[in-house]
Amino acid sequence: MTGLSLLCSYPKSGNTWLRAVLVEIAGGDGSLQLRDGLPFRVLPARRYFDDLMGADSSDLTMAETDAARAAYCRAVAKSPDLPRIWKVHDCFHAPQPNTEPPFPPDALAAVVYIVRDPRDVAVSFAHHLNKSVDEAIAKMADETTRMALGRAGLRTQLPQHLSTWSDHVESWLDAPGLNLHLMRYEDMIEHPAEVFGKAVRFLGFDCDDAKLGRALAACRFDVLQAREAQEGFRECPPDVGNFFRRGIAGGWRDSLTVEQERCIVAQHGRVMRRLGYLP
Amino acid sequence: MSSSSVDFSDFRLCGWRVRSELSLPEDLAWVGPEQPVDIDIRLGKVPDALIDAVQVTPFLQVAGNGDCRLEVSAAGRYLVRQGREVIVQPAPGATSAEVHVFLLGTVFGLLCHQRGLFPLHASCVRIGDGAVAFCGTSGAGKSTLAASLVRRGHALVSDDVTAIDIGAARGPLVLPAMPRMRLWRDALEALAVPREVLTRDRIELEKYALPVSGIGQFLAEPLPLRAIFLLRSEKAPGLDGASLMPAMEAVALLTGQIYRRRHAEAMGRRSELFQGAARIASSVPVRRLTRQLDLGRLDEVAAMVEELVGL
Repeated sequence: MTGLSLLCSYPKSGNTWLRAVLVEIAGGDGSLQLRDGLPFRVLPARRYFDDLMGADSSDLTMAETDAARAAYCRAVAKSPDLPRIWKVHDCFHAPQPNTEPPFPPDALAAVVYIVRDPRDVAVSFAHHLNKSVDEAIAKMADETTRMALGRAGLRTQLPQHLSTWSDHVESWLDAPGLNLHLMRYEDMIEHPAEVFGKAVRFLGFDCDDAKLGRALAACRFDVLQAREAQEGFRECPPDVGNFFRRGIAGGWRDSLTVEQERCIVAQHGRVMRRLGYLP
Repeated sequence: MSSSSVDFSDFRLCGWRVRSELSLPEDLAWVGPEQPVDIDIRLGKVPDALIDAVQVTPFLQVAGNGDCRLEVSAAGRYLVRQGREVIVQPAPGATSAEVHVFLLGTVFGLLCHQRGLFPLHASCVRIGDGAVAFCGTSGAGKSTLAASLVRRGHALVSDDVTAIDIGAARGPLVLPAMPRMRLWRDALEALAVPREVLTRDRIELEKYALPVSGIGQFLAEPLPLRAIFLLRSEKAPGLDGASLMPAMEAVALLTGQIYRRRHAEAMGRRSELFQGAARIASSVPVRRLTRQLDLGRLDEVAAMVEELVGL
């Protein structure tokens, strides 16, 4: 079996941007279209889980699907008809003790982990959730946080355990046995050619500088924003005006209150320092 | 246990006469004429594993001869053999509803495969004189759209798994499954169905069992398949519409929508199912139905379907 490659991050950290660039590189110039959503879709999708596991996840409890996630990941890796590259927002380790992590290293070829300053994540996450910044900050500090919970109705994705922002980052960075490449959102903005180039080659794509340059131009933030305004973007949550909101580093300075910033630093300072977000 | 102490009752599932030691929901009670028993459901011990399993997941094992073993640890174990026999071993502490939900879901689908039917992952209603099936991925809104059509007076044929007899002389025939639907809380609210009187199959999940008598009727007789819609949701308004799929695309799509497809292929049904998909695609129109996923617009979408089917 050829292992899977994961594009992994806490939500709102640049995952979709990387996917867009990969679409242009893998599919050829001009292949990006936003309307129907991007390839490299989220791995914990019910349609694939149900298909491979032989059970209807909509009748299973969260603990039951959690317990089967490692087997699911291996089954995807063993299915030559399924994609090799997937997006992932889960934390590396399982939410319950004594449960195998959802991403067994033996099923993985490569992991790109994207990290972003949690102060910017908080602002963007609040917009994405259509909730207040304080609520986003609280979610980022709660180790039980899940996305795609869908309490009242059925979601197409399985519930995904995010844990806290700090735990998310360290669970991946410190996971044993992974072939992991770390990239920072801030560096993707500042040195796109170099930083995207490394990630693209790490994932095994054959890509010269000219091609990468064209892909990056097609995926410049203002271009993505304009295209979303024109054609829409299937992955944008309902009731949220736009997915591509601002796309800058340090935007928190005019958006977070001093109190909110201090709260994030108090909760995540150690890991922020580790990633160079604090002196 | 002596055989005289075993209490069996007869139920109807997909037109089959099912004799069961395990009591099934009352709305499935057999009321039809005398006919031989098609399937036996018994309580008993299910082995820890199938010895000759060719495909194994944490839930489902498939043996080379087509026998299947399903296990959901909180609900129980199920051994499904030859399309004729199901052994159920309820888990300690499992409720009836929990044991039923996998019996009437995955086990039902596996029985369809073992009996040579084509189980489509679809909900189905009668519109006019034919069966119209709605397929789509989990969460696409199959049951919700079917329920809104049932409420508009069209009889329910099946929910979630639609059993199609490919070999019927006059084209694909749908075998009505059971007079019940399963809907999530948001769909029940949109349909204004009070959920206080409904039961949940898993107490943790906001998914309710709805006897169809609560919103409309069930059709018990087989009827010809008339149309298939693949549901596709769109976030932006104003893009509702349906497009007819070319036959080759329709075959690929239908193959992808076969219930428990990978496990049926492990049973050795790959070419049979491909031929079935081709037969269906050449017999009925397969359309992609795009609509805004907005529970407030159920009636609008239902009316669009009625018009497309030519009612």
